[in-house]
Amino acid sequence: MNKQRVRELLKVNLRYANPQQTTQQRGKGKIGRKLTRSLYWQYFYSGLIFLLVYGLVMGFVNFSQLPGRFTYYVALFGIIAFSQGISAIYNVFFESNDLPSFLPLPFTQGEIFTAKILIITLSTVPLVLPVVILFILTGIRAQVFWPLAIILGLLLFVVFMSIIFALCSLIVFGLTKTNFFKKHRQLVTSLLLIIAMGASIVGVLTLNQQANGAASGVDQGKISLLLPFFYGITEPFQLSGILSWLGLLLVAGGLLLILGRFFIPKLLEQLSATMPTEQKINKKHVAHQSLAQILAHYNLRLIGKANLMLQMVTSSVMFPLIFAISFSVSGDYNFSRLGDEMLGVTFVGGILVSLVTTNQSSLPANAISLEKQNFEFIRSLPLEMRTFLKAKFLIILQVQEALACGVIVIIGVLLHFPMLHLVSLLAGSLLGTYLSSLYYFYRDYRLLQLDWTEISQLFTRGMGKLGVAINMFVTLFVGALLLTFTTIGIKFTPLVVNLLVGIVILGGSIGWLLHYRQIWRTKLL
Amino acid sequence: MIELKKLTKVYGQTHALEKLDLTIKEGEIFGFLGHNGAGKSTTIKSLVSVIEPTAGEIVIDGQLLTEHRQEIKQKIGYVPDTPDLFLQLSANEYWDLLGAAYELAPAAKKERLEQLVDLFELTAHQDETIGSFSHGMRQKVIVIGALLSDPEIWILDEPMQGLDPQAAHDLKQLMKEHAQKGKTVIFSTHDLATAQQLCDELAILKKGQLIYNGTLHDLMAKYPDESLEDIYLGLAGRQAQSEAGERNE
Repeated sequence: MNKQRVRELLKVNLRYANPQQTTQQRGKGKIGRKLTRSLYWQYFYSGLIFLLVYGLVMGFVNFSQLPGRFTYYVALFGIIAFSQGISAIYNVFFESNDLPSFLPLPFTQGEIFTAKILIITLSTVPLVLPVVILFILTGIRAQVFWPLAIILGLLLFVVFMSIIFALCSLIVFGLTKTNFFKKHRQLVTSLLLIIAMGASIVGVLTLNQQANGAASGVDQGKISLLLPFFYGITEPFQLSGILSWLGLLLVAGGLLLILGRFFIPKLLEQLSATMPTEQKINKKHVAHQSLAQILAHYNLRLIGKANLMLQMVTSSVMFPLIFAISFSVSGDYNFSRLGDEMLGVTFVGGILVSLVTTNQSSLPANAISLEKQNFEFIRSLPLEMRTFLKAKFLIILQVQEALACGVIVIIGVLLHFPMLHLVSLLAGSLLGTYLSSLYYFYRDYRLLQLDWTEISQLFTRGMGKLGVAINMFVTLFVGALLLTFTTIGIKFTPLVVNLLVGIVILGGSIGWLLHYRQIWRTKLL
Repeated sequence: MIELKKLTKVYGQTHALEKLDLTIKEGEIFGFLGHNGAGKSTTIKSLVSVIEPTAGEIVIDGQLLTEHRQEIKQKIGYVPDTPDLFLQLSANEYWDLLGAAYELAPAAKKERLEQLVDLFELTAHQDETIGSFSHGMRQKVIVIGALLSDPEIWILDEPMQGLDPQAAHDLKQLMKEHAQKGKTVIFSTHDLATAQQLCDELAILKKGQLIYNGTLHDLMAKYPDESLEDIYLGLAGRQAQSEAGERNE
């Protein structure tokens, strides 16, 4: 294997794995080595942040006396590594579709795959670096000679990552080998990424729950499957420790052996067979459709790509659902006894939830830019742009409203809202989604970007990542304040406050609609 | 020398190539002609290892492609039918990648790159991303990449597409010079004038089958009163109106 070639391939993969960061750094004038260095640094920074945040928390806990909590943290970071690993392996090997570009070049299969594996490692390891600290600290606290604790901790981490990486690879490579995947590529992609995302949400939620009780010093139930990691670092020279090391090495070695023997040698063939360029897609032609029907089908197909849809849907539903599940699990939030005088508050709540679900990364905020070069071409057609955009907006709005309703129903059920309040939440959400979709649809038109290569480039237009964070924070903060004041007000003068809120919402909505009606008439041309 | 022996490629029910036998000699410019879907790109992609033939063999300089893939790839410079490659990379980064792939010495690469970049007038754009280029500029970047290692065999899939007249002229010159040095140039084209200008030998494909293989001179001599366009259309598809009746008889 030629190191120089692997280094060059790694450089290319690094840029492809971080398109947004690459574009930003290029904008700052960074090219060549400087650009590569800055891309490597961001992995270092994210690893450092994770190390600091969780390392500090872990520093205060003596895990050598708490095997249950030790195994819990190993499981937690295992889940995070697993979910990140699954999506990274799938994206880098299958979704990137870059194989045809490399095939004519005199790179060996080993060089291409090594670069890919390195980039997957780079994007996964920073998130699970706290496990190294966990291993090392536990070893030191268990009176293992500290240089040895460091070496054993690092070795244990390599074993831990090898097992997870091998498991992820076996799942992805195994699944993509099946005829079912070849026939239903999009469906399997969605399932795979949803499972990975679901696992990460569960992981984060459990972490939050657990962090609350971290200082109490009481241990929890051990996860026996993960105890070998504990004995491997706390009692490395006792029988339990030696057996644990042997077991872990056997598992890691066995999994890697299966991967190396049955999957890697035929991977190139497998990748070539799954390249979408070789798939012919026949769509049944439906004759005699009206323009509106044609545009509706076209727009649905445009947003129908699994990966794309998943990212946009995730951005819409992730935060409200995480909050709702957290509140529901904690048991502190139960709205089953809400009185009818609070119907106005739940209506406002519905609007606020919709402001979180309809954001910079959601469908309405990116629908026009998804057109890419089609947009300029469509402009050249004898078709009124407003008609085209209106058809697009209506389809996008329906999808977004459906998503928002789904989120509200889940929130309603989890937090035990009475039926009437659930209807009020839904009504608020429908109105809020419509109003904010109007805003984001026009925002997309204003900040139109048709030359994107990676969907995340669209999400951070305008004020960038900082803008997304500020927007989310302001919405949540102002929303919480509004809800609190309205709730307090209703306690004293329910009729007046409900009326006042009703008038403000009605007036605001009418003003908003008139404003965007004007924009549709004058600017969306 | 490049030999294609009973080369076959089947996609589902479609036979993209049907037992293609061809020999391409060193020192010649070899052209593939044919309508869309005739099998030109499939043949070229099989030659450069992008697709695996269903049956048949490719032998280059006496070596079987399937057994000596790495060595053979080192000898080939390839321009694909679309220049939309590595759009996230800058032109320089793309050439660095190729420099590493072909194991070029830094000084030699620099010298060759300067010549090519200057020739194709891309000096001012080397650090811009390929994605920001026009079709023609992307094509230039890819052509420069293919010629960077000065490979023995050039395989160019519709290389003139999108190039401005000056760049197309320069590329044709380079192709001629390369063949004159005793090396091989294989290209596909829809443009009969280009084929007429460049080809020493050509193959006309129709629905995956070889319908003519020989020199341009021989082909023209066979139909002395016809233009290349009429001959081609007569062989490959619908015939020129004036000649259709005669040929059918």
